[in-house]
Amino acid sequence: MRFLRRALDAYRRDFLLGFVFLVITNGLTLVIPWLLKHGIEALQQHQSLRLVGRYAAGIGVVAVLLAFVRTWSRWYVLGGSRRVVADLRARLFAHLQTLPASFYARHRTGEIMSRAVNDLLLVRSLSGPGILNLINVSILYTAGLLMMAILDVRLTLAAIVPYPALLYAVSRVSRTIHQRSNAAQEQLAEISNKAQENLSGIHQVKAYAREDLEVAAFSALSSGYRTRNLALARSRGLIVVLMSGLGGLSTIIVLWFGGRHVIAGTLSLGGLVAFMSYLAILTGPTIMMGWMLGVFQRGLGAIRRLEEILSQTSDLPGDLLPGPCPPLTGQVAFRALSFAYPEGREVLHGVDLDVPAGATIGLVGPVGAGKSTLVRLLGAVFPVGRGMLLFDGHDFNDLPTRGLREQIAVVPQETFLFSRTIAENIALGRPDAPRADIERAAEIAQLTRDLPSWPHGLDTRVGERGVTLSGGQRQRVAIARALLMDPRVLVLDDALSSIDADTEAAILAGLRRFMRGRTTFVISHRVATVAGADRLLVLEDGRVVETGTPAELLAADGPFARLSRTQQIERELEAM
Amino acid sequence: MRGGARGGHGAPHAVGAGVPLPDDEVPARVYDARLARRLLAFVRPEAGLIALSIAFMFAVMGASLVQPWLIKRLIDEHIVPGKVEGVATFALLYLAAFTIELLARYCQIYTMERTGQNVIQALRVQVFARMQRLDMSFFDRNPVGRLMTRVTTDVESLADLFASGTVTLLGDACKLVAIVGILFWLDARLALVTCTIVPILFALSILFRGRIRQAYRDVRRRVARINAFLQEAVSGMMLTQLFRREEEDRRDFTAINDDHRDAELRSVVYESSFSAVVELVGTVATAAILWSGGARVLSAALTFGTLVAFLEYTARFFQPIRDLSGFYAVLQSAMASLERLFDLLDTEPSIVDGPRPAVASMAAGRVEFDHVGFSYLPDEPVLTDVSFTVEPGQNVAIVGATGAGKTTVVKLLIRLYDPTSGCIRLDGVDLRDRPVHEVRQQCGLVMQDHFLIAGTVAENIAFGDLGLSRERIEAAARLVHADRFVRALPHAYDEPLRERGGNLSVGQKQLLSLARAVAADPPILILDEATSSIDSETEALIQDALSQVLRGRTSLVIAHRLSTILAADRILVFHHGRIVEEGRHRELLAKRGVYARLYELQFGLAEGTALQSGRPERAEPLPVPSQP
Repeated sequence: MRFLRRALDAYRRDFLLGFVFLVITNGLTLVIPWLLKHGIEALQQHQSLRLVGRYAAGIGVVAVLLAFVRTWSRWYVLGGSRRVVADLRARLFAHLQTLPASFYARHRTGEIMSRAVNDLLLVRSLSGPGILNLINVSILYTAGLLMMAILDVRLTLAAIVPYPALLYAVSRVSRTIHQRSNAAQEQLAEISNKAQENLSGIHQVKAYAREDLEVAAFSALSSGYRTRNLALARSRGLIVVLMSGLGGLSTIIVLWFGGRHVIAGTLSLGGLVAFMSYLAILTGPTIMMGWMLGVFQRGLGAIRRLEEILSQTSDLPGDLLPGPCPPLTGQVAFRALSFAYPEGREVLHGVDLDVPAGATIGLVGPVGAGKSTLVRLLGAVFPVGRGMLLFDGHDFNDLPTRGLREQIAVVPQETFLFSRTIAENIALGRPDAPRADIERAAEIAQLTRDLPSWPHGLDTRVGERGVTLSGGQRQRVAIARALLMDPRVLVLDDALSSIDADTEAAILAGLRRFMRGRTTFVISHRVATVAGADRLLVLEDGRVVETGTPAELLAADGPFARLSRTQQIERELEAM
Repeated sequence: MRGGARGGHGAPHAVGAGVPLPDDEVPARVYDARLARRLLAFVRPEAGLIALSIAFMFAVMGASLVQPWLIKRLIDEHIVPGKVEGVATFALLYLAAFTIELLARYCQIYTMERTGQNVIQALRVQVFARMQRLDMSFFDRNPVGRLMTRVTTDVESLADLFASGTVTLLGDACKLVAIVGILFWLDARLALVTCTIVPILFALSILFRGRIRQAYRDVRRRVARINAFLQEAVSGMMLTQLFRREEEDRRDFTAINDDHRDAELRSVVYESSFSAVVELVGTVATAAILWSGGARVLSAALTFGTLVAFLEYTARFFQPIRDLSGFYAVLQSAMASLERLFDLLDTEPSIVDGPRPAVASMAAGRVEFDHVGFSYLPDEPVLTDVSFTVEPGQNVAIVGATGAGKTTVVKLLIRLYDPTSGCIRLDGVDLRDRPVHEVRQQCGLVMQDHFLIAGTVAENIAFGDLGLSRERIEAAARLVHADRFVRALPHAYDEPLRERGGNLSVGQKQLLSLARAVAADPPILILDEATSSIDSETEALIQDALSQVLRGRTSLVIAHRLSTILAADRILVFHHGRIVEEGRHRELLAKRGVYARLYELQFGLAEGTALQSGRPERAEPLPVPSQP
């Protein structure tokens, strides 16, 4: 709630002005039935057309004034809400940028998008039309009831008799509506997810001849959506009946009692007409109340969800440290390092390692051994669990994350390209890098050979409306991206897996020259890729089972030697 | 670092209702008879419901219009003359009219909603089913995000057409006519005064609606941009942080966000003034009636009751006019959606079932490529004159550099595409003569990108065959050595997988894909680089398992890693979309051609020579054709 208040505070002037204009709007709205009453009375009692004309003209003038004030009031309140939401969205985005990898591991992209899109829309409804109508309803109720009471207290009391019971019923039904509308929305999201999953993997669906199953599954979801919507329609219909019923019941009561009063002469005909006009004014807000109840319920829910995100902070101690990071030489050490993903079991158990600056470390091991995890720790995206990670002797937790990342470049296993040009993708970490640097990085990553196949060379756009890159090309863009950072520590997380051996050899050769004097971590399943490393690390089940130079490990006859022999035996097969 | 969301892949919304992409904004005619006729075909089955709804609508209208008239008679016959008896009757009549109105309204809302839901449910499923039948080339042309909006936003905008649309429109039109009729019946001259405001209101509505619509369109475009940006930014957040690009991103986002806010503010201006102006016209009309009606009351040409009834009717006059002008916008967006939907429904797949009836038995597994040529784009051949035969039970390996056309061979074999020239036969019959499903059911496939559905591990292994027994699922997993990691999961085989298997490593996903192919037990097995990311040790285990699976089964294995295909009966070496060499491993090595070079590079590297920069002389660069 606090953050919404703060956001609203920035536009206090708009909302205040809006409030003032709303009060005037409502005041003027109430003047019209009053003028009407007097007009009719003038007609009935004085039989003077001039008097009637004056009241009619009065109504016209008030109407024109009303039009202006109404426009202003809506402009200030609704406009204010748009500004508030734009601010909130910007704040949410800025905050998302500070959240750590563990947050993104827990929350699906769709879920975060839903916060930033759907929930902000709900906040907009609350802070715009919600507030607008809240003010309107309170003013109209107070003023309408007051005017009615001035005309006839007893009649007023009689008119509002059905309100409490009906309002209670309305709030009950609107809670049902809320639940049912959520249920329908959830089902729509299910449909959306199903379509996304299906369309993203359509070739597999076809390959496995799964179309009919998919249509059946989709059809079931869609029909569930229909059922939920119909349930929602029943509640909505009920609330319409309740709301109109309320207005109608009051009208009948007023007609019944009011008619008797007029006949008895205790109320003028004009008075009755005016009374009924006021009653009609109350009908609108009453109907609005049910709607507002929903808007506030949903809006507050959205705010709670947004606050939950905004209250999260990075779990990386380095994110809180100000100032620059001391320049690193590239020396890295693990001390009894253990790690578990949020809500997961431990994947690294007590890893010890000393890497001198400028060394090349090869990491091998079976699937799920913890190699990528180790690399993620190096990339400073997850907090270190038990044990220590040291850069140049500094505890990882004592180094400012951003400064640290400046000196470390990670090429992740799965490449993510932004829908920008290839050059912009390479320059991700250095948007202002000179063209020559970008081209050099592209050259080392062996992208030069692909240039002729792209319509605009490095300035070709990637993605939906640009060209599609092959897996190998994507990985090479990612490598160029890391090289351009000119890092002290480079981490290749199986980043050559989709690149053919020929190209890989060329890239490794270029890398060796480029990385001279810098620390490199290379993860691979190919012995060839890590064979040139100064030191190898064999991981199994989150533990280092073997470490040493490639030659030492080959001599040691451990897992690495076995791995190497498997590949060697294949070679020897040829000699047979 | 999660999710392999490709640049721009994935819907820009992913949350419930989608947001149309900018290029979906086809300027549509407001009403298109052809589209309306086609929609009618979907609506026709609901004719009964619609008739019912119309009946209820008339009941609502009658009951609601009789109420002011009752008040008029009450005033004229009882209140003004001071006659108490009979007042109760009127109150009761009013109550009855009112109750009927409420009940009928409820029924009308419900029947209409039901009609709409039935229609869009049918339409949605039909659109989805049509997509399932379309060719891969269609999906190459249309990004996932755009197709998503077809089954979400586009279909939903039709729901609006029904909920706030057709019948309401009819009702509004009838109501207007009825009110005008009653007004003229009550007093023709006063009615004329009231009616002068109709054209004014319509003109104002259309003027404003045009502006508002334009403003909304601007807003929608910018919302689409915000969503696209957010989707990508959130998916790539780890990378943004690693490369410290936060500030640039924030600046870009602020620009887009501000732009969107400004467009919204413009729409607010029009919206605010529109409602105020409509209100103004209505109030001025009231004043006009009071004045001119008053004059006629004074000249005794009009009773008080009539004047009051007039004011009442005039108040009921505006709602239908406002609704009518609002309907215009709903209609326009529905027509644009309809156009897109019917376009999709009209798209015919070119890959269709052949004339031959399906055969119940599984294929023997003889695969024959006969001078096959293929290109995704004209003049850019991917395969040229490819001919080979795989005899039943034979294991054939396909090797070649990236972009040599290996994957395309697989895509052609399972008929995701048809060859541009030549012909592919399965057991001697042209694939194009067979039912599409039959062909695909014969082929077990493990592709490069792992497709995991939201479901349990077991469901993902069973995949195409829901009736698969748990024993067989687990046996398949054991065979490919996936059993070990699956059992380590908290719920083992019942472990639900996250979005595209987000909680699994790449290697684990590969193992599951492999288990899936094994579980399906197809006569032909196709492995496309299935083992590229699995360490040699696991790979050896899989090889061991596969050699049993492959025995007696036709198989095609694609890999850059030659280790996986040494056991093959025959190796096809692809280069530039052609088969350049063919034979057994040793024969090929002896040829000292492309194969020998590929092999040399792979295993020469193991010596560490390449890392020492003394790279072996490289053959001409292997161009990578950009495959869609």
